[in-house]
Amino acid sequence: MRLATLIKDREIWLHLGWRDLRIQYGRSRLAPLWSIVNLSVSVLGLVLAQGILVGNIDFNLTASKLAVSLWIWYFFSAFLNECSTLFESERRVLLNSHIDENVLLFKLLWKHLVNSLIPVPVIITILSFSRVIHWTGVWSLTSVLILFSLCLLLPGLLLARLSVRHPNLRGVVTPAIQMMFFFSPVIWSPNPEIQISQLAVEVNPLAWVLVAAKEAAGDNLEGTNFLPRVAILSCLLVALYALAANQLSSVKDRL
Amino acid sequence: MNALLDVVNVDFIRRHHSRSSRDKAILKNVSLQLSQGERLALLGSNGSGKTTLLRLLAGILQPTKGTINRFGRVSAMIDPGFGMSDVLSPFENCRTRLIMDRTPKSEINQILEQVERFADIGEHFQRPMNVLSSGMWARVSFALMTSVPHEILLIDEGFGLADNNFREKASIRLGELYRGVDALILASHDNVLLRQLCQHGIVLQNQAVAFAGPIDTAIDFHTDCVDPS
Repeated sequence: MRLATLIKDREIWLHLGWRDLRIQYGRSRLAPLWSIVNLSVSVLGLVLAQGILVGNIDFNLTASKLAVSLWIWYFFSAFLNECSTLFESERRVLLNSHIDENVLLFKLLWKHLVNSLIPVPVIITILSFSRVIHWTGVWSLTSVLILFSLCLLLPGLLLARLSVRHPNLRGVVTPAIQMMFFFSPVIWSPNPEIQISQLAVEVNPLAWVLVAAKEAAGDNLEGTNFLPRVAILSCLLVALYALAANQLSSVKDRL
Repeated sequence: MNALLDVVNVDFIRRHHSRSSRDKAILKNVSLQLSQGERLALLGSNGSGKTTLLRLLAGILQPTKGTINRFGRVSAMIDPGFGMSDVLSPFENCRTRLIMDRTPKSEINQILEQVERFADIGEHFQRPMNVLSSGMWARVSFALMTSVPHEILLIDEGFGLADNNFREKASIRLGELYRGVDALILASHDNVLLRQLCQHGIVLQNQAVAFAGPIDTAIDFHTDCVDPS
């Protein structure tokens, strides 16, 4: 992934990402409001469900943590799901223009980042009403999301290229992501007394991000080993890149 | 004469993803040279590798083996509608295509004005393309492709032209386009057009160049291959 190419072609991926959003929302009556409605209804529904199942819950804290974790989850699942079909859906562009494959990946990331900004008013509203948020928490959350999105680039690229070489992979990606939903602390919080929940959090990089984001909402990043975990995650990604370099070669001759 | 395109012993293998299918050789040991002022016809049956060769010459695909040297800006007209969405207007779609082609910002608005004028579809230029007829789509695609300057032009098949009024206008525009480029490669099944425009022709058969020579002989060779009787 050449940084120079991505900088040189920044107008292309910025424009294409924005264009994709216009196409996506051009077909919907609710348009971007759909993201807001989706998140609001999901948070409300899950809080009510937890209240019914668990009983006595702190509505404010639960709603805040759910809003933040669902927000990150939607970004993560939507981006990776679309990565698995990226090069097939952009086949005509790849086979008729000089646009680099990595530019299309950046376009996708940009599109999902912009998309993730739409429900931010909902999150800020929930966090404000909960009186959980501090302004430094907003910056912490933003930095978590930006770092997380950059970390997703390499797995996204690997997934996009592997999906062209192995089309059956696409059928596996969606259920795998669905399973991650249950194995990651999206709707549940780690319980130190339950070893398996602790283990799930310790070995799952997505869980690190979710826990960090939930704590950041309360401006308590210190308890999450945030920086060491970002460092470990970065090393893991470099190792992944080194192992998968062969799979990361161009796929234009396979389309 | 100066060579604008120099293709030396190029192979292209399409990699297959399925274990049951092998990699497929699309082109083998293809060599050709395109000089300044030359109009070259590319002939071959469907599936002979014409479009792949054009993509290689344009630099969209990389050869598996061999080298391609380009001494000028190569433009390829292969798929006129790529990158377009029916939810967006012709204006927005054309703007996207120009950005994708890395057209300088300062030239984009001027080119869009030319496209709008030439396509001549009135207020529909700002309306979503899903309300346009196929003829209007064709007008817009054609206007876009012929409104930008080209040095070395590669064209795959003819354009699906619209109504008769536009067809005449488009023919004049095409004539101007062909005269204005430094060199041209035209892949087509229209022998009349090829004889009119091109001086030389190459025939692709069995993944290789089966014939290269004057256009009339090339067309006769290709016709004999297709229908030996």
